[in-house]
Amino acid sequence: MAATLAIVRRDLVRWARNPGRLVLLLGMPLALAAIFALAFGTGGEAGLTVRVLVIDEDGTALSEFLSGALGSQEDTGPLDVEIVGEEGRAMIERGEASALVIIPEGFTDAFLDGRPATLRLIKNPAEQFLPQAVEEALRAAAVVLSQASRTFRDELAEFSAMLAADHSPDPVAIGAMSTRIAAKLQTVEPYLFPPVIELETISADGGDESDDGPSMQAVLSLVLPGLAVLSLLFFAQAATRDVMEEREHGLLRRLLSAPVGTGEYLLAKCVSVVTVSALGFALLIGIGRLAGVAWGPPVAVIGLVLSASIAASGLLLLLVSLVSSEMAANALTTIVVMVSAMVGGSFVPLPALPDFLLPVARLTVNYWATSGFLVLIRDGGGPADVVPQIGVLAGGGLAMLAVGAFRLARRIRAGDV
Amino acid sequence: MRGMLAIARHDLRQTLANRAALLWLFVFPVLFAAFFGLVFSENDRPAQARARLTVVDEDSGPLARLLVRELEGAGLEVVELAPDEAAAAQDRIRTLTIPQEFGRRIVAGEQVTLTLETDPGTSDEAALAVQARILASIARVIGSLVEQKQVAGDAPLDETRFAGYEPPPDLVTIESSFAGQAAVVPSGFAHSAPGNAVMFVLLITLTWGAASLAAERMHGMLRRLGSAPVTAAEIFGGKIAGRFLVSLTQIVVLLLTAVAAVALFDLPLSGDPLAVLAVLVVYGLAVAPLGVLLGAAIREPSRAANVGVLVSLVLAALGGCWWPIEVVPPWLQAVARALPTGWAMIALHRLISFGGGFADTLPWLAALLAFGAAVAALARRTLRIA
Repeated sequence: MAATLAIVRRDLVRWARNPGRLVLLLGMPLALAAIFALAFGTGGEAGLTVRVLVIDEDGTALSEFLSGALGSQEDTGPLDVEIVGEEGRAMIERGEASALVIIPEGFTDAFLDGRPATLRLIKNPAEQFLPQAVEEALRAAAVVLSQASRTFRDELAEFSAMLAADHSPDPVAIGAMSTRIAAKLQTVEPYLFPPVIELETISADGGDESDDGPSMQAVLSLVLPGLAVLSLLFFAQAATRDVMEEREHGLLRRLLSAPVGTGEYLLAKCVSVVTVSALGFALLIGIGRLAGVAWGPPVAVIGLVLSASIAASGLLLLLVSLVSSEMAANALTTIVVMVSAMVGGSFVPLPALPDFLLPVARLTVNYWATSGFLVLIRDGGGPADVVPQIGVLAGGGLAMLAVGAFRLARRIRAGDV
Repeated sequence: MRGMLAIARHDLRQTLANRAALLWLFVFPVLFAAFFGLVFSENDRPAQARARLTVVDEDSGPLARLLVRELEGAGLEVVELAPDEAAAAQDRIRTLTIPQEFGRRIVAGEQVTLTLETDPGTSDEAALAVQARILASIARVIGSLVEQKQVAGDAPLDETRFAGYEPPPDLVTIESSFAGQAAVVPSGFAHSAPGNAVMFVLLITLTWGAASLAAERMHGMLRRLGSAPVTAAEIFGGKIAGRFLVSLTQIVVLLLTAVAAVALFDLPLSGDPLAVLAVLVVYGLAVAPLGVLLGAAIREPSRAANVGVLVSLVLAALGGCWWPIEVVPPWLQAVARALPTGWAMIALHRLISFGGGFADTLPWLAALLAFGAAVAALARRTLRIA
């Protein structure tokens, strides 16, 4: 037992003497989580800006009203509308805006006369979402304009005739028209002011949808668990790599020639790997807490950290036991770690994973650990709610540790390692 | 020059002989591009012609049915569920509930609230697009109410008036098109393929490229090379050329894989392959000195590789390799336009999304070459050969 503890102490001292490795292993998930938070967390302020160019070829009062309405409102949300001339076409070709709206010549005449009128929209093909959002908003505006055209058909036709006449409009006619418009508005007032149908958007998890977008803490809470589990696997990979390094540098041979049994050596390695992984993982959890991530009840978090560390260590030790050189171990463990991260929810949040991947995801440490943290963070679960995750991780991890240690012991005794 | 080429060839051979390097060179880029392409093609996107909407119609009256027809007409793929099926139903992305008494109440001028329940895992952008289509449908129903009320005059409006009612087509329509020639929106594979190519070219240069140079320095091989009949400039040039040759090999294989994937699976990727090759080659040339700089500045190979991973991932994320850059705040978009990864992505978007030619990418390629030259000058000062 003394030999086991000595080996564990030596391993931990080696980690402590190499803070650079620690910083890099911790830095990767933290840097990426910070970028995610900066990119998608608005901190309560709307961060998205949709730049829209408008060319008014019609040059009439209505088209000026339309383009002005887009550009001059105080609260246009994320819209940044700029009225431009012909240079707008070159600007959209250069990708300098999300969309270009063209109000073509004759638009107002067609609208007033009740003929079909078309607005042109040219979208930036290098953008995925924003041009489509502009198109949807423009289509909704077109519906409103169409309804207005039908509702006030007679009045608009009369107004058109007034504009076309070569004399100034008769004030009496204008007054009569205004009265008719007011009467119509009064008739339909119950349906329009306020609109008789309203839409309320709620999130399936019970929360109201906010226009401000998610806060930085909310984004961190969504992405940091997955990235922390990836980092846990990197810690376990680095710790198990020591086994191969000790063999290739002759240290293992020297250790086993001392009064240290194979069992003691492997037990020490298992303890070292689990301890290093758990400490690294716990550090990430702590830093995440400082950044505002509410991980959940400490008992449940400790249970998940320990069980995930056992699972990650078991997986990596089992993989290392399958190969005979450090290079092969690097290749195999890297493949497994990266593929697990991909399908297990480290790179893509679990709720966004397609259904067909879920059976494969359930084979990974990443899935069980990340889903456990989601239960605590997103669903507000307690220790009892993550028992299945802890059970799968700890049970599977111990089994893998046992098989990996058994295989390594057999190979050490056979002189293969 | 011969010495430089010999060193470059040697570095290429050394890298290709390493199985782990082969994974990062060829296997992971394809795996990542396929995975993210698949995942983000799978999610319903606003650009998709028909986005899915589950509707629970608790009213079933003429006006509720009119609203459902309008939703279908607005380009939504409506899946209707009976109220008693709704709670147990899986696979719902967003659900619109039309409450009981909907028709009777709105005809009477009473305000009614429709509830749209969204799954928190779906994209906000897609949700906004669907919301806009629902609002347009609501506007049509309100417009129909207004029209029929005008016809009815002072008489109270009866809901039965809307049975089978079809509002006339919109007078104002939108004619929508894309700028450029190709019009390939960078979603799914059209974003994951160029994004991962840019990321993995950088990753291999900054990890294997930096770690192998650090190892040569640590083991004194670079010093021994300095005593051979080659000049310091040739050694330096050879190290840069070696990293470039590795990138070039990677780029050619990835591009051939992409061309084959487009042919076999009809992937939505376009752009002149030769122009794409040219952009990636210039990008590989620009980042090769960065690998030398990192390998010259960091003594321990594993640390150089770890720093390389970190720098590559951060530059890839900030440069727009992971997500469409338009969805991040303006200041982060400005950051992307100041990074080599951002320049490469913009140049590739010019070719793939706009269908532009090589000439359209020249400003970005010039920026990449200037960056490469500046880093090379810094690396030359940092790398001690003898």
